[in-house]
Amino acid sequence: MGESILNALVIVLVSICANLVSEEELTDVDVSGISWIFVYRTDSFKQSKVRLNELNKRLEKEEATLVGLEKRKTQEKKIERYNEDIKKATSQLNGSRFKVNIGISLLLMGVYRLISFIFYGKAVATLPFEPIPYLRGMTHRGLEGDNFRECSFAFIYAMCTMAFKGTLQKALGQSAPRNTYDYMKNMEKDSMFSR
Amino acid sequence: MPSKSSVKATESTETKPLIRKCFSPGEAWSKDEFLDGIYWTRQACSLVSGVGVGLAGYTGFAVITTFITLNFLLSLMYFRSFLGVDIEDFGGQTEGLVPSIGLFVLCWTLFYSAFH
Repeated sequence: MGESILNALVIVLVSICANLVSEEELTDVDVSGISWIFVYRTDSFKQSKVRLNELNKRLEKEEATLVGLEKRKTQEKKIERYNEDIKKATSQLNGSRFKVNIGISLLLMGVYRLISFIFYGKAVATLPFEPIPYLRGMTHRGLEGDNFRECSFAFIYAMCTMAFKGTLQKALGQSAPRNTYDYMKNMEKDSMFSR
Repeated sequence: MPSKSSVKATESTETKPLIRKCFSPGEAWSKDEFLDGIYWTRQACSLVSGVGVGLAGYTGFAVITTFITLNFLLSLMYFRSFLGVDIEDFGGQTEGLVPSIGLFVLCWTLFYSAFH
């Protein structure tokens, strides 16, 4: 069992490194995150981020301002214009990250293939619960037998990605701004069937 | 009971570190600070509870469902009741919930496997 837990720890470490390299810059080590090189340090990304923050501040200020009935329509038009500008700025921000995200996905797929090659068929941990049939494809991937409490590399890797991806971004301060255009919130307004 | 405060951070004259704010009731919180606070509180709870439950050797799917329920409710209660933050103003009640579940299950599995 000692060997299997070491295997699990190796998977955790590889997952953390893969997430670090694909997202962040380690300033004290001579390794740079892909996103930082191609996206976050570029002037266009920084300008888009600054513009987005400015637009959101103006929108919040306008929404918080109380006006009389006669100026209400003007205010609504202004708010609508701000929302359109925020939508454009968000698209610009997302667009600059699109190509790099493709590259990052390919990198993470490569890391997964490597881990799969090394640990396929080995139980790396024991699950403290009986997995539901829906999850067994992941928890018991590549393992023989009916002991579904044996855990494969795939589940550990999935949990690592779930746990560390967002947390590492936050810890190193490289997550996307929270105040991007909320497509879900404005779905009804943006719908082609709305008035 | 500390008074509820949802005053924006721009109105405060000094910026306290987030970790110190999480132990100081009655402080002014901005939306971003609140969401970050909830996020990190949940991650810390997941880490501690995952390690604890793994070392203790608890098993069963019920542990996960209990953890999700307690993590969701206790973190919100902590901010609302102890810190006095008016969370309705900020939204984001599920901030950091999914990563915290992943971290809990990972720690629980690793420590259970290592010690049992």
